[in-house]
Amino acid sequence: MYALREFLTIPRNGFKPSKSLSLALSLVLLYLFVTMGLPFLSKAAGFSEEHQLIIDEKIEAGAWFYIFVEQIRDIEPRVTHSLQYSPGMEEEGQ
Amino acid sequence: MSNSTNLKSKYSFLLKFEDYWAIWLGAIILILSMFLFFANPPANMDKIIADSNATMQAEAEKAPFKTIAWLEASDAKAALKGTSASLAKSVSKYFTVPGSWSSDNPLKSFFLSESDAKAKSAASAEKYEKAKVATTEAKATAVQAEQAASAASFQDADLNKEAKTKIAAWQKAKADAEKAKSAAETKPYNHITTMIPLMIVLALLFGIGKHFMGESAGKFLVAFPAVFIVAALSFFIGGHEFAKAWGLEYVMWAIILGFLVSNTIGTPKWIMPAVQTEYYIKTGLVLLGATILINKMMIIGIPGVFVTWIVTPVVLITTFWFGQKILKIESPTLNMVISADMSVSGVSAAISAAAACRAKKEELTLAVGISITFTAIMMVVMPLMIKALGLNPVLGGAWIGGTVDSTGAVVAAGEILGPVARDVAATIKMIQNIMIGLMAFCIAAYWALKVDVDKSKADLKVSSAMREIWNRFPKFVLGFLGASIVFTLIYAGMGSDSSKVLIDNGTSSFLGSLQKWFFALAFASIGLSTNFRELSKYFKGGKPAILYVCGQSFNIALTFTMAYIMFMKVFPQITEKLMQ
Repeated sequence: MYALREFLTIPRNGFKPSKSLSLALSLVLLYLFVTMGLPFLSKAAGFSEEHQLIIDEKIEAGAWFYIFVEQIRDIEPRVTHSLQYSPGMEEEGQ
Repeated sequence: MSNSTNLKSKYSFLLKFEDYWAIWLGAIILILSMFLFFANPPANMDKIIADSNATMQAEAEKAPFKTIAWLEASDAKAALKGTSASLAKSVSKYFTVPGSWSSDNPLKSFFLSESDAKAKSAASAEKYEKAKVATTEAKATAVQAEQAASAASFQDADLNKEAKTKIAAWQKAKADAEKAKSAAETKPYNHITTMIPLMIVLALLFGIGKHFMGESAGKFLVAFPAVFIVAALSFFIGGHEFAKAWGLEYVMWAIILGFLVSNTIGTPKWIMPAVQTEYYIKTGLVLLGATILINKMMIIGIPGVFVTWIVTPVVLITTFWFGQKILKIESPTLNMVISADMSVSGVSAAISAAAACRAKKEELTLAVGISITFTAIMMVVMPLMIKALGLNPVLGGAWIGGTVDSTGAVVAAGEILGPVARDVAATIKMIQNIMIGLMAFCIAAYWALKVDVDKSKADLKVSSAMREIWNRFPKFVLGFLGASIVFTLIYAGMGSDSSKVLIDNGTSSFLGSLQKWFFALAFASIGLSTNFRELSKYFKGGKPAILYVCGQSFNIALTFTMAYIMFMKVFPQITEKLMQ
């Protein structure tokens, strides 16, 4: 971004883009990176299948704390049931 | 008269400092949330829980597998949610953040018209109808199979196995129908109309604190909308489906958007009064404390405790030592934030550690940036590697849960590996998350006692030394820890079923949405007040990245060793149960 600003502020034939233009252009580039760049990178890295699975399952892969992840609400009781309250587990194990 | 004046001046510091205001604001919100959920439980909550438990108990004694009645009773309990009570619903909608969108329709993040919602519902209606029919058929088959097993008094292993298979197929069909239902019942929304009142309320809430702290509340109120807009835009960008898939959430976009403003046009002076990184972070952390429930530690038994509570502190301390003694990182606060971020649980730990040791905002930014970059890669590469090695899903899940930084990335990595691995990975990460409170307290105490000590006062008397430590201790950490202890006690007192409804699916869910806003405001403030050149200084010689890579490599090796010993050698019966 620093490079972008420097590039934009180099005078060319008397034309010097304003700082506001730099900001607008940066925002457009950011938008394009997200909408086109990220899907492309996903393919290029060979992560398409995995990323599609994450999208289909609606996982907030960037969510950093467990209460922000919807799936945790189902996972927790499921694990508790499997370990503590699974019917007949003891009999089956014997 | 003079007594009351003395008392006033004696305790006036409680209203003058940011740390205390973070506690007061957090306490007000927590009390309101308790009133909202505890005083308005879902209708017939106690009766539904009691009936469901009785049914589950009876079915558990009857059959050696989860019967249809057992699962229906369990579902009835799971459907009870504090957030579905009408008052809670009306209030919670104001904390909604801009949602998911794909490249073809960015507006969807903020707004969905009635006609678009109808069109979307209509497009999914047929799929839902088919899914409903499939569920009914699957249930009929499952009922038949269970009846056959029951006729043999559940003694015939083949009939039991057949019944379990058919019931699992019914559960799968039911889950598919639920997914189709949510698409078929799409409702219109307009997040702009809920975000504006939220912005006003948050501005007033934080503005009152600013007034008592002796700053201009008016200037704060004027500036706040600008920071709020950057925060809202960060949610918008983070809501893109591929940004989510890459694990690039609003935290990163808030910093980047702030950067773009501060490093192009420069953050206007009139916005600066609302650029209050620490104020938002500390308040958010006090709320976070209320969602850190210590009693969840034993959810997966002793192996989970070993994989998280033994490995994590060892990795944290070793990495910090490595950074100080071997890499000789100049800033101990940067070293600590990266070490905590990598060893505990990514961004959440980085924020807590940074606040506890009073790290600079650039140091937090750098730690978060490194963590997000490596997490995006590890999230996909780790499950692929585990698949290639053919590891047991429980072992693989525990390995992912203990090493991949963010909880969302852990769930995603687990999903790639399969349902058992996903559940184990998420649970391990959840237990690790509980460490954040204790970690923050220990770091704050260590900094006050060892790092941030005024050497000239080393020979002070004990009482003076204690006062000095108290002066340096970040007080909001007490609010953070206090909220965690209070909510843990309430959780234990209520009993797990009611707590699940009113805390897990009530206050925690409600506070979670509000916290997201607080942290987005904090990271937007970081971006708005950071100069790119200043930030690059901290990356000197690439030492922060080297520290992360070395620490994470050690974490990967130690977590694998501990998970292997615990889940495969010492407690194989737990692994066996989890596999079922």
